[in-house]
Amino acid sequence: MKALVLNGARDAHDMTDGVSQVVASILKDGGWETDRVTLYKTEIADCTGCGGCALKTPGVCVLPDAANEIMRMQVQSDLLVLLTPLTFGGFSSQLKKALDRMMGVCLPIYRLYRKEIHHALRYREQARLLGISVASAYDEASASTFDLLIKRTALNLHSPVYASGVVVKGHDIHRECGALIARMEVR
Amino acid sequence: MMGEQTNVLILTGSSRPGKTTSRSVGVYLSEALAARGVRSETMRLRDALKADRGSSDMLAAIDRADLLVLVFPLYISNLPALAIRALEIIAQRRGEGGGRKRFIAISQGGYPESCQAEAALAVCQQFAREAGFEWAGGLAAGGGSVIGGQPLESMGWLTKHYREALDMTAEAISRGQPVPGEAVETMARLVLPTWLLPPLLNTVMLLRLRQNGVLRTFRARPFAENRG
Repeated sequence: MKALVLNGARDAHDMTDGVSQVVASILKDGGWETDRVTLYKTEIADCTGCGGCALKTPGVCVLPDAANEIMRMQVQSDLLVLLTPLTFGGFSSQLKKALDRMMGVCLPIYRLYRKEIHHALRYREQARLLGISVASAYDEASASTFDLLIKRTALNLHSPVYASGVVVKGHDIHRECGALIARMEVR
Repeated sequence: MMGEQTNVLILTGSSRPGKTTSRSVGVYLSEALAARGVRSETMRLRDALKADRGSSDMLAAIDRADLLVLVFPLYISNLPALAIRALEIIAQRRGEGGGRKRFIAISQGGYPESCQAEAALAVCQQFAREAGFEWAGGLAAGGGSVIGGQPLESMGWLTKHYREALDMTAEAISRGQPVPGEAVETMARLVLPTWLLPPLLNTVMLLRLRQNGVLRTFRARPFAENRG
């Protein structure tokens, strides 16, 4: 089983960076073969919504940077872990810059999926989705927004199973991350 | 607060160069505000965050404004990275002080259903809370891909609900009020039934794929390898 961890830490001082190491360690102990990408160290341009991944080079982004390699890793993964400092209840811009460039995993045509219009799947299998946000304190409204965002991201990526959680500074991060990852294991 | 005292800054959050639907919405709102005696300034985040002076022009414009309106394209049910980056910068700056200002968010996405924007608008509301803005409401516009950066007035019945909702919003802004519920409902109105949209949208897309010479290859799986 393969996992891809996208580390959306803002910089090396962000505690999300440390949580990324904890998550990678838990996955390794659980037998996952894990790729980890630290996005603040990775040059990825903003998606310009040009449609090139649909209309010019199907499934491949036309911009020449790390995004295509990340998309390859995602397609090859059984589990996608989105790790981010909780940013207004959502993703950091570092994490989002990578996600925005991944729409090549979907086809440009549309279908009804769970009673909503979404892009159809390009690949047969989709990764499970785990969202982990890191906060200095727990805030109910932010946590609720994060849950909603992961649910909607899972709908867009057609992830068959998804879960989300907020880990809080000073708590037992190893235990909290472990509990979230356990929800992603194949039964 | 009366209209003539309100300064509005409209930030458009598309990272696409040239004409964008976010820009079309921002320009229409700006004109609707002007018709009601409300001053507004429109700024593209793509330019504001790439300029040599960094974000200083954007932050100075926010300092001058009473109300900030962010218009953004919906990317994966969320704000695009460019818009999140701007909010991060604004929140960091606002955390250092500043008077109470109001904040409105307007999402526009290719999908028709307004529910697809609920997480993005929740993020915007949370930003307002954390950055010391007063949340004055959000609008979720669907079907934006058909507009393609054209002026809303030129699109006839396809954008009638956009224009009505933005007119109601401009009127509310001129009176110092939040986005009215009627504007939210109007903007969310579906111009065609949901079940009819996939075949219609797919017909247009298949024509575009054909024009681009990728009709036979658009289902390629370049990264499938052993995954299928």
